[in-house]
Amino acid sequence: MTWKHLNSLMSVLLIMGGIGYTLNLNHSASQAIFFSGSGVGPTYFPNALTGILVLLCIVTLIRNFRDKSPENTAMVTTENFGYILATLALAIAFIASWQVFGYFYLNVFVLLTVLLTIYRIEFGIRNSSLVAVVTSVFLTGFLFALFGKILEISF
Amino acid sequence: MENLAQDLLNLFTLTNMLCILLGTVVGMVFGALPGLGTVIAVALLLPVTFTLPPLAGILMLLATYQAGEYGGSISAILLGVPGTPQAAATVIDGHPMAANDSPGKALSYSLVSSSIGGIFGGLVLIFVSVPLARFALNFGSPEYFLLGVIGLMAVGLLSGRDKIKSMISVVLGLMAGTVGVDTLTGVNRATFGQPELMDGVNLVAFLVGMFAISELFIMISKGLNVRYEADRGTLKTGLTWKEIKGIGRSTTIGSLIGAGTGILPGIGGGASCWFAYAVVSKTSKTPEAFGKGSAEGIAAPESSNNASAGGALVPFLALGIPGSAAVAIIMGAFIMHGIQPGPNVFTAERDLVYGIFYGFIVTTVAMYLIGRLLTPMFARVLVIPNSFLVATVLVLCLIGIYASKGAFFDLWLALGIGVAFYILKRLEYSVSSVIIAYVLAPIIEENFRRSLTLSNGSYDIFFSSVYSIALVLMVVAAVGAAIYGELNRRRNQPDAEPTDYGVK
Repeated sequence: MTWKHLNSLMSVLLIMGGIGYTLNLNHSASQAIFFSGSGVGPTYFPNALTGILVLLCIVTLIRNFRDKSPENTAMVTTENFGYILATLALAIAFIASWQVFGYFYLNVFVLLTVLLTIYRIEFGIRNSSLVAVVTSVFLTGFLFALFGKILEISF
Repeated sequence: MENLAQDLLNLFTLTNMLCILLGTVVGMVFGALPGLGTVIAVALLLPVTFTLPPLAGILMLLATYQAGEYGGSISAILLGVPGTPQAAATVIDGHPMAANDSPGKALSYSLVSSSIGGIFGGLVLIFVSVPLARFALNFGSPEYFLLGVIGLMAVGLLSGRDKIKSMISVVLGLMAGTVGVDTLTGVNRATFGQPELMDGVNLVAFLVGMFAISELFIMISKGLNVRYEADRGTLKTGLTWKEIKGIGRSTTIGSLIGAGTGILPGIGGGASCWFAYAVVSKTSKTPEAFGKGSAEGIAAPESSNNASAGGALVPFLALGIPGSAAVAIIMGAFIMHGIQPGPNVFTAERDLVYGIFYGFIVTTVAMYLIGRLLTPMFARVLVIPNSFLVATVLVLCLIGIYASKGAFFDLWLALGIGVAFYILKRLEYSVSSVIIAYVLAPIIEENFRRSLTLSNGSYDIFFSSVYSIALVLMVVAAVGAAIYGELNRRRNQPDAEPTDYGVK
């Protein structure tokens, strides 16, 4: 995907998001008296914002379509994309596990251990997993002492 | 005099002092670490302020803000990599001085000038915001609406490389700010059937997702196991009186420029440090020394960025208009405690306001003392690889979000916002515009609707007083200046890339 494609895709997504926002807004406000005596009810300002958003996104789309510079037609590259995806997947797994099963500190320990092992995998699985476990024990212990004991916040 | 004694008694409590200490340490560490920075530090500490009295929480955030401005110079000097955008100009002379002479000496120049700039910014805050707030008591709903628009114009049009994308960012922030129950009619707006959104988008989830989680993805893409090599030869900080006198002129110029530009929304420390550096280098008796380790070249930008912190609080406290992303987050702490900044806060929350005035000076003193004592330790933090930082900060982000309301919905929301803003940042949308628009949205909308209700729907109300006409002219001038500046930039430097000040 080129920067041009990504830019266009984002503009289209923003337009769709704006339309979704305004549809939901007008639907949820439809049961109320949403036009006061001045004609400015709770939907007036958000609807105006959607109009401006759509207009600006169309301008961006046109400008992007006309931009044939090498920067805009270059491919989008993301260094360490696999690590970003892995981080995101682990964060999702962490939140889901915490929400379903509880055991916050156990989940924190597992998240830190897996993350650090993956991040330092270039140093070898044994080295990275050992460092990950030691660091995670220390960090989880610190968080338990701080939040669980000193601040008495339960998760 | 009696008031002053009472204000100082309110300020010097154990809780306040511990909060200032914690904020200073966190700010310095996050400021020093390239990639993290002041805004993330302030965003991460925001949930902590829930559990604290308002003054203690706000002082902690102010201490973080102040110390982060100095912290950014630690990596700028030792690594040649600015920890914050506000320390970018410090690299030019700070790093050569550290390499050629002594890193400790370069850090000392930075610490002393940052502290003087911070004190100057604090004095500007004290002496300018009270008369400005008194003047602002003449304002009604139309004027507040226009002030909000000016704030948005300044931020949207002056920050970011792409003006259209900056304006889209402003609109996105305003849209996010309208989600939830409408305070005037009680109608649900854009909640998508989620009861968690009835109170609006959770500020902490929004901030942490936008600034911290998205930044973690950027840090990962920059490399996880890069180990910086810092020259930590002589890190002992200290200057002789003669050396302090030697930077007197540049520190004064830097402080004046920093405080002045800090007051103007949208400019902030990122631009003021370059402005101060340019003025001092052009008027110096030894211009040939600049770029080779000049003490004046360190003092000007460092005093400027700390003075701009105090300046940025002036329109925030007196008018309720935040001028930078960090101040917008601090405004979040006010809102969470049910306090609306603006001229009325000076009477309604007098103790809090004066506590902030004097507390701001105390945060600067704390920054100086902790900087003197602990700079060598902060320098050692620089060698921590991103792999450890990303994992630790991610967990802290998730804890902070959950602690703010105890809702898992906010964790999912923040993760989604983090991914979205990672892409938006790469496409050069302005995150500082989003957050400032988000906190200004209620002010702008409510005053707009109140104005039109008062005038029975007539837009003439926005031209009905001298103040509102002057503010309309300022809006027109801001748009004109932005268009002129953009045309001028394209004509002179077609490839120049202004940055999203205060964010990256």
